[in-house]
Amino acid sequence: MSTRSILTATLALVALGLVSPVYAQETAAATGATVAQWSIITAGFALAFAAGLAALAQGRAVSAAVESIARNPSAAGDIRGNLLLGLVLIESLAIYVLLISLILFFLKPFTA
Amino acid sequence: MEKLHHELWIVHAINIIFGPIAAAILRALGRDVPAHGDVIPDYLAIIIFLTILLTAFSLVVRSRLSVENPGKLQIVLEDALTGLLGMLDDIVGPKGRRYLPLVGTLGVLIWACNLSGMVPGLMAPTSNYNVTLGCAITVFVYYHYHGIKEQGIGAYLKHFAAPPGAPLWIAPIMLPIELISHVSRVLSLSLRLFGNIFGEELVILILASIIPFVVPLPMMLLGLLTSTLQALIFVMLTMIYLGGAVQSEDHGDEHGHGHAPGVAAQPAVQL
Repeated sequence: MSTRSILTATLALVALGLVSPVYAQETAAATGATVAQWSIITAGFALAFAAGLAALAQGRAVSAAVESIARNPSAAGDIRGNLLLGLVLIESLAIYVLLISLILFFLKPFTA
Repeated sequence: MEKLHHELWIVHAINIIFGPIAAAILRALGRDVPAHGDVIPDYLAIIIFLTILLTAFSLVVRSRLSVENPGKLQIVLEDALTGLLGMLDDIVGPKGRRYLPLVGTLGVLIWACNLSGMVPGLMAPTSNYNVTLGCAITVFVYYHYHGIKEQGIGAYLKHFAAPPGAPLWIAPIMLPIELISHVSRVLSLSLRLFGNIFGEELVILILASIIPFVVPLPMMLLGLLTSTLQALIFVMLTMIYLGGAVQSEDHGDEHGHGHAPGVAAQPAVQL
């Protein structure tokens, strides 16, 4: 084993050892917030992720479809049908996350 | 969140007329009846009302059909019917036309239910999960029934174990995957429709509770678009599932060239 790999391994071990007391301090400070409040924050974050990723995916689908219509305008009807189907299937994944968020927001399953 | 339930006079009227009968039937079946409030829930009353309305409309249109002098309504309806039959032929194949009754009825009913969320005196029955789950379970039972009727139960179950063209030893891997994907079709159909319609309605409600004047209007326009689109997608997915169930191996890849928005994408649609 080279000197460099021994040094890297030692640094990694020291870093791991240093991180754990910091974690304990954070959880001690964060026990003020209840699970109910965290679930609402989680719902917001989950929806943001879902909306962003679904938008990216739909953007790729639309760009590919428009490009292929430009290349072959006579197939526009078929491409439009496939595009709509693909867009709705991608959007339905974001809708599933919306439903979980709605459940966390309004049905509030975690309050005491 | 303030109460989402809204008292509609149509629901109230139906409950005054049919409430005691429904309460008597429920008590005879041994189920408890709510003492105050409506016995018949609002989504049930609205969907029965819409069914009666659509049936009456169809009967009136049918009595006024004419071959040599069609009116505008007849031309529009014939266009819609031709479009639906074309999709059936593309996606399901040459035997697709016999599934037109269920597919057409589901399409028209879901479209009417979605749109009645925008009408002032009505609510959208599809904004309640019971209704969309009922539609999805209907589609599930229907396409399995027709798959078994077309191919016989042995060949149909063999499709679950090993898709055509694959060796038989992958059956232990394929069987759980196929079962889960078929059950998830029910969930995805119902949750997609419910989530879209209920979410749209909720957004309009929240916007209207903040600024009721002009701001909900773009969301209402979006609601009109997604109502039609979701009905179309429900029907298209029904046709894709039907096509997958009734196609047998010998002409499994005859169609799929040309315009088939679903056949080529059928393996990819297994959500």
